[in-house]
Amino acid sequence: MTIVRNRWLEIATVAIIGVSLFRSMTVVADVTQGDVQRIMYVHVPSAWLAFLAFMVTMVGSAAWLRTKDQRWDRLAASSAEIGVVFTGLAIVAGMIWAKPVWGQFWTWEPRLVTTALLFFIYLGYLALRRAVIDPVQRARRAAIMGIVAAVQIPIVYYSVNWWRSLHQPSSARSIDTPLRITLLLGVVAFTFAYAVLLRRRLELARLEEELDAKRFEQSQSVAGADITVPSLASHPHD
Amino acid sequence: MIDLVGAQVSNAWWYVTVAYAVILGGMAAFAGWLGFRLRRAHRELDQLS
Repeated sequence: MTIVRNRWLEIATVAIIGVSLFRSMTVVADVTQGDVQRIMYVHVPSAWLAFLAFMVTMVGSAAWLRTKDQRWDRLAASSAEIGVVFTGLAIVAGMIWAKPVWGQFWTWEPRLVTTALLFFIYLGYLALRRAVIDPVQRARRAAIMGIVAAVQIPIVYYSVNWWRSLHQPSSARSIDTPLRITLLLGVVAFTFAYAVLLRRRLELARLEEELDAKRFEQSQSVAGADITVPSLASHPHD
Repeated sequence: MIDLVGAQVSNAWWYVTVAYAVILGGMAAFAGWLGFRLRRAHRELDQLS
């Protein structure tokens, strides 16, 4: 019972993913594309999860700039990492879907290009975080980028409406009810998965901060202030 | 045209299987990687304290 109490979110996530998978394999096939359309039930939820993750990064970034509370920075960073992973997965699943339907894995059309850009922008965000050592400087720079980068989210979403696109527009409202329910179930399942992954990634971020603080503390006690801080006034040649 | 698209994808289930394996495998791999990093962080913290 204790395991169930402690791990209820993980158990619920596995259960709902299982139900979603079963449903996506057994629901009636699409008239136009046939069975290959079933890829939609994992491709769209992956893209949704990525959007959600990057929006949370934007909220965390704005909240850090307002409060300077490191917990918001941890939230922004953790969510961005999850977002990058699922953007990559959505792109790969999309490419597998594109091959039988479009005849090729990749084409330089607006939705694909803007999504690839989104992927690389947030990869840059993660790289920026690794490049700055000072935690406050890192949080500030990452927060600014986390807000600016979010501009790309509506660009990706509306790219199919703004430009002539091979990619189909949002079909959540236009598809038949059984297919729509299956898609929504997938979205809910992936949202649960996001919650599980975010919880674990947040714990990791907290531990890493604790580790950095401990390492800094230990390096101070070993080196000592006289060695690490040079004093020009006491230089023997002056 | 509509029937043609559906009929052309004779090996549709192969594509579906690969796509699901990529997404679910990727999700599981990421969760596993997080678990590994968590265990390593715990171990390093124990060593430092």
